[in-house]
Amino acid sequence: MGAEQDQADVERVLSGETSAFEAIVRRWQGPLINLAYRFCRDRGRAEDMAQEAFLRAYRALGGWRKEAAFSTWLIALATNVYRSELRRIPPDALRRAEKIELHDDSAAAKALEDANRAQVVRQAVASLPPKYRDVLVLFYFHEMDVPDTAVSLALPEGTVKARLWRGRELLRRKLMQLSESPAKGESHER
Amino acid sequence: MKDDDLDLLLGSEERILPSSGFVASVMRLVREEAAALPPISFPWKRALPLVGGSILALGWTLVALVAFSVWGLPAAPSAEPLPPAIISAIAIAKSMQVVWIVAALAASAISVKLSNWLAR
Repeated sequence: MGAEQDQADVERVLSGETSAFEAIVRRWQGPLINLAYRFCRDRGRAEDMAQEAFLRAYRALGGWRKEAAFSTWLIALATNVYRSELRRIPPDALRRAEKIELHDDSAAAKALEDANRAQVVRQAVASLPPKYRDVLVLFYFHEMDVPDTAVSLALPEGTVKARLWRGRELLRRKLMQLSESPAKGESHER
Repeated sequence: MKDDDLDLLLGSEERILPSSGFVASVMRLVREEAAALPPISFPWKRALPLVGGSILALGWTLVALVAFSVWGLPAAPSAEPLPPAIISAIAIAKSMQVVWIVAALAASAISVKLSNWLAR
């Protein structure tokens, strides 16, 4: 039903009815903003990035060949926009993760044990090298679906699996460093 | 930390809600985009004869260069010697590389004229 609505709205937009794009924005604003948020961890910036993605989608609407679902095309386009945007202005996730490690030692130790644990893990993901970060972000966004992740990133499935494995290894190391930080931090402060 | 733990932590992502003005702000930009004039396309119809002519001229020059390099320049017909004033003017022009200056000026003038004509 959603796919049919998407197609009908796209056809209306392409025939000159600009207002039909509003239905597309309403339907996809949640996923696109949430995907952007997973990349940048900043609500305001996530909306700006999603806005840019919608604008690019509007411009490129005629290029959707209907071989893939509209959702696949839109998510791939948005992913491309977000990655370019993050290359232009990198997120400050690394800086925040470093802050925890160096200045807020007790918080880092506790964060790995209580509810903040997930947040620390997400910040660690955001501080990974882009090629591993992107695969991890998209993999969990697509509810752990490798083929969808591969399509969104325009990568072969084998590459996605390899980067997923390597990304998780890097993530584990980073988290271990964070959990060991109190001792380091104490010696650092002395 | 095991893969399952990571899956659980990263899979249970918090959902953020779009702000109330998000759709309106996107649609404002989209309407501005729709109202903007489309970019001027390159006037291929006008440019095509010139492009064709340029390719022909280039081809002819290449053929002439090859011919000259193989058979040499045709012998100059015997002519009356030029008056000394003209000979000295040619010598001065040669020393100042006037030919190249004139050629460069002509090329600039042609490109300016051509751009103006194509943009019209």
